[in-house]
Amino acid sequence: MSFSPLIDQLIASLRCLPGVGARSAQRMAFHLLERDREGALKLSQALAQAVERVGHCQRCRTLTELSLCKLCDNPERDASQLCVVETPADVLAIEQAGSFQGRYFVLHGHLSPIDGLGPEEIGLGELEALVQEMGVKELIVATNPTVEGEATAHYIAEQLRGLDDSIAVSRIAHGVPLGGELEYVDGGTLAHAFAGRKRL
Amino acid sequence: MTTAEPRVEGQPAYVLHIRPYRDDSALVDLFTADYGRLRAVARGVRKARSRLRDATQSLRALRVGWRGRGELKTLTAAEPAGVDVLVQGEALWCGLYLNELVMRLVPSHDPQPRLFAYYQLALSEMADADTREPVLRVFEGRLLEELGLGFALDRAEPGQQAVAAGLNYRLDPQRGLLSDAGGPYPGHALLAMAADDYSEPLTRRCAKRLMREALAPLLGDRPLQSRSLFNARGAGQRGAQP
Repeated sequence: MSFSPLIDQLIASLRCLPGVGARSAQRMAFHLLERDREGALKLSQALAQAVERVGHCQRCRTLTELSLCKLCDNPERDASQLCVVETPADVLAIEQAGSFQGRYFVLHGHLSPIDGLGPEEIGLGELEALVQEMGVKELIVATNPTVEGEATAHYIAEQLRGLDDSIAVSRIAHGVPLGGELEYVDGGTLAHAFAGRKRL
Repeated sequence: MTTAEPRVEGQPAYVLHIRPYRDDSALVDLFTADYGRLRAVARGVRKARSRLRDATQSLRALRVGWRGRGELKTLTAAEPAGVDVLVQGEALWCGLYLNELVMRLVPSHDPQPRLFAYYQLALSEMADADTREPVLRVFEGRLLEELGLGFALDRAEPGQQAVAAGLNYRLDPQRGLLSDAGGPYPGHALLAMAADDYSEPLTRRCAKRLMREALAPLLGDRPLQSRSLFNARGAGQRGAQP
């Protein structure tokens, strides 16, 4: 069933959102047009502004419309610790956990040769420069625990090893989730948990 | 007319590559024992409690099941097969290199049971830093052979004469090894390669160059990306760079 061209266009555009199929797009479109035109206008303006102005932080590469993001601009944050993550969503996850007080660097991906993503594509040259400029003492690599994430972590460690031996490069631990039961944990995770065991 | 979709179960396989697809699914490229390389969609695999969760990790021996008649299969099961060897450090890069080779060079839906066995063997030997480089060279050689592009390491043109330790050779893409006084490959290194003996550093260097040269025409103008990983450290202290 087809509506007028503008409505069709709106429905088709809404479908670019994750989890939105034909049916929900239609529902959203009619909601906005019938019940909340003011909200719709706000949404369209917010979208236009964000898309136009949000770029990457000059230092950590996370998403922001400022030249330096809030975290990089905050003098309270510990500049001697730098945490490397794959996505801006990872920054948010770590911030919500609230246990890290240092700064971040966002790769926007991981090394993936088959996808054509090499060291340059994920900004490892910039990372090297930043580490030297900031006087980082510890670099914490928090890429995902996938083969590509691990390969990326190893690459970063090797890259910095040649650079400055006083910088400690560490990897976040992998293991059994809190409140979980060993019986239900997969073999790979258990193997990592044993390899990374701690003395009590 | 409703014929049941073909189903495959308990097939030994490795994940070569995984790409997010739609909201919570992924497209998984598999290298399987009896069906060669194929692509399957893993529905809902990115949800926390998916039963296909194991299909997100490459370099691990799996048993998988799928259904579907077309090019793109639907993954129905994935579980670990056997004990996992933790692949760490430089071995990971070598694993990514193997995966890129298979993705780029092995045609899809073409059964390659022998190459699968070599792949499995290569991964199991990967953990040991000393055997890593020979293992890659042997795999490259077998890959060329299975693709029908292998060449003898102990015979050379003209006339398929036995390779002599004291002579030099070069590689001709069509004809294989050629006797050539100015060639880059010394006979004794080729003979060592033919015997799978990579104990001499010279043999390893020569093998690396020879395999690169033999693979180059197949790769066209898109070089293998995973080679760039091995440049992390400065020149002179590189390990098993492919």
